[in-house]
Order: sequence, then structure tokens, then C-alpha cells
Amino acid sequence: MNSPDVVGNEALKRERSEMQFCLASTVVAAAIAGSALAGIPTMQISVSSSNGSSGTASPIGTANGNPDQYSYTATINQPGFLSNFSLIAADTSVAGREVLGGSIQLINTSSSVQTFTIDFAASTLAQGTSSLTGGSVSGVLTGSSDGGLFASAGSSIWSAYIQTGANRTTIESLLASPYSVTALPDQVSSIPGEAFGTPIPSQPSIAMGDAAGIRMVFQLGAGDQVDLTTVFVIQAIPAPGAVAGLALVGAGMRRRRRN
Amino acid sequence: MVSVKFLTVNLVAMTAAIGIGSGASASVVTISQTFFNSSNATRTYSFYQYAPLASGAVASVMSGSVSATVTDLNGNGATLGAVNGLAMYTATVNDIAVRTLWQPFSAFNVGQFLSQSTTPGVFVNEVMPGGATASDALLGIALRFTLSAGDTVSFASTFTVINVPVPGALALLAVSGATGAGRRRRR
Repeated sequence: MNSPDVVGNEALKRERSEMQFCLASTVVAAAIAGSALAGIPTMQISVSSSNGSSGTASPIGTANGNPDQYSYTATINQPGFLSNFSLIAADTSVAGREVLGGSIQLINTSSSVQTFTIDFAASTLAQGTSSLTGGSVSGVLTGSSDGGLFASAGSSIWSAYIQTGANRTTIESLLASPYSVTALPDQVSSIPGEAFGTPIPSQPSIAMGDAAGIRMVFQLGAGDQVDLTTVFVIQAIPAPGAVAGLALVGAGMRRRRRN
Repeated sequence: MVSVKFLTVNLVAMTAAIGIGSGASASVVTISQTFFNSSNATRTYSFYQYAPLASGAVASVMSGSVSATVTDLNGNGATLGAVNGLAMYTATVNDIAVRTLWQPFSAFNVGQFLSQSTTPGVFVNEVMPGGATASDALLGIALRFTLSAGDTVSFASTFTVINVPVPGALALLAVSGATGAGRRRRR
């Protein structure tokens, strides 16, 4: 049996520990303030071509079996192109990590070379003061009966960005201009993979914002088809205050266990 | 391991009939298909795509190709593999294999959150086994592969059959060409 003094010390310790936990919770809550949507991320997809056609989609995410990940599928069919999307995005409120990616298929159904712009973005929870990022892209080109062409249109084909409010910050670009891959008639050609921030994610970047996105701009030959798979990863780094708060929680719990 | 099978026949989008030279025509089967393994285990996939031959009963040459782009979406790497040593790509006529690619196929591994495309497998202008295809032939491509959990792969693949005139018709064309040349020379 403990003496009254020891019991008093225990009560004091518990009280101090609970205060520390409250303080830490407040700090953590403050660190994730200003957030976008928690839970299922919203996805926005847009495709446009140089012949003036454009289309958008806002597919609803469904849980795909991987922890905190959601799947999105969409088809955008407009004069001059047909595009299919099979994408994923993560609930960033859980692990502070966004994994945006999947596969994109685009067919140039027009009779001339077109420049296409594809943009897709998923909402994220604005958190931390910085992040670690990384991404990759690769693909396959299928030529039509007169061969195939996949090329840059004056700038890098692939870029990843973080959007905070109205500000869009490009994090990195891949498949730099000039870039081209050709295919023989009715044959396929590989678009070799490129990556940044390897091991992904390891490139220091700005804080996770309200959305993460991938933008691709490229030329595609008449009747040709391109299949791209890509991923963009952002790992939020908690603010120092939040880290200190978590450290306090950890110390409090350790002390409680010891007692 | 779970096995997933797909069968697709798209008579409009996947078949192209085009003129090649005099009297020749080509039929093309094209695959562009994405697979996302949303399970927590490696899965085996079988995918079939068919298209009818544009015109047949003539001697044929064939070409084909296959490539894939793989991305790791869950941070533990991705692996595209063959099924028990079977060819990953099989070109068929009336469901009879006429050509394979990627056999044997060494496992294609991709690192953490990386995207990589395979080196394409290709064959060009080979004589069709048996020398001819029937007029009601159904061309096809079969893809068989395994994909690791939580990852995605997009396949692009083609199988082209070019019908050229039978030898008798070729001889006839040669004779008519020689006659025309002789006539021009006499003038």
C-alpha cells in the first residue's frame, strides 16, 4: 500500500501529465488548422486539346482496400480525343501523406497531331511547415497505321504541383523538352520512366497545401494512343510545435507507464 | 493467388481495315488496358481481346508488339510477372496460338513509388503458320500475368495480320503488268 505522500505525488503527476496531453492536443490541432477536406479527397480532372475541345470530370472516390486510399475512374470523350483515368488519392488527414497517381490513357481521334493538356488534382489537408516529395512517370505509345508520335510541346511534359489557396507551386518537372518517342505503324514503343525525390519521397519541398496535382502537356500523333502511369507523393513534415507537443505526450505516457 | 479473367470483343474501335498495296488489307487487334490490383495479395490476370479478320482466304503475314508501364502505388515496390512460365503475350487466330512474346519473362520489378516501362516485345512481317487464314477468322491477343498488391500496370499491345493476294493472283498481276509494258514498248 502506498503512503499518503506517494498517493499525493501520483495525483500531482497524473494532473501534470493530463495538462501536458491537453497542451499537446491543442498544438497538434493548431498545426493542422486551415485544412481542406478530411476524409475522401475530392478529385478534379480536366483535358483539353489544341483543336479547342475540352472536358472535365469530378469522380467520387471509393475505398480501394489499401489503407486510407481511394480509387477514381473517369472517361472524358470529346471531339478529337478519348481519355480514360484510373487514379488513386490518399486521405491525408490520417498519415499526413498524399499518394496521387494511377494510369491515364489518351487517344487522339482527330486526323492531325494535337497538343493535349491533362490536369488532375486531389484535395489534401494543409499541414506542417514543409514536406518531402517525390514522383515518377512512364508510359507506352501505340502507333496508328502510319506510325506514332509522343513529344513535348515546348515545355516539360510532366509536372507536379502543390496548390495552396489560389497559389500553385510547381514542385518538379519530368520528361524535359525537347522530348519525343516514336512508334512504327501498329507497333508499341516504351516511354522510359523518370523520377525525382528518390527514394520517394525525399526531396525537401513546401508544406502540403489544399491540393496536390499533376499536369501533363504533350503532342500526340493522329490516331495514336498513349498510356501513362504516374505517381506524386507528398509526406508532410509536422510543424516544430506539433513535434514538441508529440514529444511531450510521449514523455508523459512514458512517465505514466513507469509509475 | 486470385485469378481474374477478362474477355473483350470490340468490333468497332479495335479493328482497323486499311488498304496496303494492291489487293492487300490489314486487320489489327489493339489492347490498351489498365489493371489496378486493389487486393492485398498478388493476383493472376488473364485478358483476351478479339477482332474479326477484315478479309481472308489468302496468304497472310503478321506483326505484333507488347509493352507495359508499371507503377508502385503503395510504397513497397511493384512486380509484374509471368504465370508459371507461360508467355505473357499470345497472338491467336480462332483461339489457336500463332505467336508468343515475352516467353520466358523475367519478373519486372519497380522500386518504391517508381514508374517504369518494359522493353517492348516485337515481331514483324512473319509468315502466318499454315500460310493462310480463313475468311471468318477471329484474331486475338491473350495477356497472362501476375501483378503485386496495391499496384497498377497499363498494357499496350498489337497484333496485325496483312492479307496479300494468293500466288495465282500475283501471277495474274505480273502477266498483266508485262502485257502493258510490251504494249507501251510496241507503240
